[in-house]
Amino acid sequence: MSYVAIKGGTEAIRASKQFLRDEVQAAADIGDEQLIHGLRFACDRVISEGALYSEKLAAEAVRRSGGDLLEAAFYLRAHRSTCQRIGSVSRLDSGDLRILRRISSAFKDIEGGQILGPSCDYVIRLFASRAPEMATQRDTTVTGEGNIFAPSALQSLRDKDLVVVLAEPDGEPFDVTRSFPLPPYPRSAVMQVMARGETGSLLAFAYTSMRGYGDVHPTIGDLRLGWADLRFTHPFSKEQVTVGELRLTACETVGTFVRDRRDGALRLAVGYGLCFGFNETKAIAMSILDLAMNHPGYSVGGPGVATSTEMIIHHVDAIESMGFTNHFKLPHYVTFQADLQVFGAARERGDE
Amino acid sequence: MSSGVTFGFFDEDAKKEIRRALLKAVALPGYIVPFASREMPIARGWGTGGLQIPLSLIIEEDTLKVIDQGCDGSVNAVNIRDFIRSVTAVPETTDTTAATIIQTRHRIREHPLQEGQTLVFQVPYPEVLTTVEPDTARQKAMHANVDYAKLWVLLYEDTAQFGDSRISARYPVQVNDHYVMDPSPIPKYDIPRLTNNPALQLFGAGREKRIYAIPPYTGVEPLKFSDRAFSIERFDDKACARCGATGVFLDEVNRDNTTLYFCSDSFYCDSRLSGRADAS
Repeated sequence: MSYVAIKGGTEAIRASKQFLRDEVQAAADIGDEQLIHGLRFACDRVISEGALYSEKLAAEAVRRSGGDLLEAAFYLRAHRSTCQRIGSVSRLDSGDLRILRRISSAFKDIEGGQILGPSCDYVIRLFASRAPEMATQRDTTVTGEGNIFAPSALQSLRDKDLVVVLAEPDGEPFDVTRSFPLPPYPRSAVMQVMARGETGSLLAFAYTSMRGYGDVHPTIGDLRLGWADLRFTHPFSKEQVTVGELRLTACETVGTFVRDRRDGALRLAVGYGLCFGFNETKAIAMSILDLAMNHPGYSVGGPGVATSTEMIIHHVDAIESMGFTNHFKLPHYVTFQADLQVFGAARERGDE
Repeated sequence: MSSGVTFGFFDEDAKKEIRRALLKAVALPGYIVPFASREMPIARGWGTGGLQIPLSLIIEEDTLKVIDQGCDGSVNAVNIRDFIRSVTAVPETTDTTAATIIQTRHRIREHPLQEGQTLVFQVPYPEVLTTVEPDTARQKAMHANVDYAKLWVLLYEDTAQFGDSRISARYPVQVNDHYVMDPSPIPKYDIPRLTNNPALQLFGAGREKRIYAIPPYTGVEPLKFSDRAFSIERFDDKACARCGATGVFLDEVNRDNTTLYFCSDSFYCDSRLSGRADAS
């Protein structure tokens, strides 16, 4: 009689976990500095999708996961669940960011200038072209030493009251980590889900609105990378104190004009995207989705995908989608047996 | 030209395939021809479609000009021009009249083009029907039947609600009384300059893998109702703050609470200042 595995997974699972640790063991020697500064964009994806602003923990997560960034973000989310929420910081305005990079494709020149900063936009992606650009003797860490501030490049349009202003939310912004909303979903909840969302998922949904399944026509009004002061009300002195700094990416995207629900006047629709760390693709995609969801009138052509809040709010979080997709690896022999029974019965009836 | 790279970047088979698509496109004005669209060392959406056309056509005798938003000095134009030069060593110019191949994004030059010149447009959305019909097979049938009813309905809906079409750039045009095509995101100001143009106009969409063309001296008309005039961008009493030009396409620049206007076409502006004035 051959061996039939009925129980006894414990030993196998322990060995499998050890096997994985051995496989990525070589990563243990990569230091925090190398990861945080050298693999900055990997760590930034992790703090953004993990929804926990900690460069050190992100570096540790990247090491442990062997560079699987979804897995790494998962570590941060799991750790986040163990952290107590102390309170809300004062509202940040991305127009107040200390700027490292700020561009606008809507205007040729803008107040404060087009600041390219560090960007891969114009890199020729050939291995051969790498060498000559490598050897500057600059300090390797980006600190944003000059204190550059500039208003949003859309400010001139706002001054002329040409931009739709969405209604202020009632009370505190929603926190999806405390309770999940039912429709109609508050915008703050949708924005929070997207800010924690996976870059690739946001990108794919935003992309549907650009070709085939929407008609958003986005123009990047203001895209910026920089640092924001984190202001918090001191629990005893009740005074506003700066408790830290966040590296952020923010994007305002202009759509076509619409009738403003406030007064029926024609104004430009704008979408907003924001995420932890430097991740332009994510902030741009998020701003396009915000634009599409709040101005669904654009969606001519196919069925709305990017315009559907229901679609976006449930499908952009990779901790959820990755987890569920991978759960299909779990044993399903009971349900599959039930499937086979129904299948067999149908075949018997079909043969009658 | 850097060593180890083929002239024009592509291998000869890739060039041949693109040229065949171009020949078909020229034979069927306004018709969208699929092509393989190789991966380029710059990102999709940054002009990889436009870029593949000059790279497949260019020869040592050519003179190249690249503009973005009308400007030779725009970062993306500089980047593309540097790349083409690095793989061809072909001389470059900002002079519209001296260039044999002009790659452009979002503008047609103010100076009229001449016979023998080739204007290459970078195209994000080659399929004009995509906003009203996302299904590729149905789009193809609609083009074959000259069935543009859905576009007319879109135009009607906008006209009924807003008095005119809401389309600003990428205004649909009908080529040679048959195919309606997307002229790439040029402003309406540039639309009347597509028709009966002495130059060969080629359109390349890298991400969407499509090529199409307007041969020289081909009729191109914007889609519009017969009782409605086609209105282009107007700058009325505005003039270029640098060269004083009026009646040209201007860029708006906001600085220190004042609004200034400059020629979108930087070479046109330069040539007025240098006294070479309007060839136009």
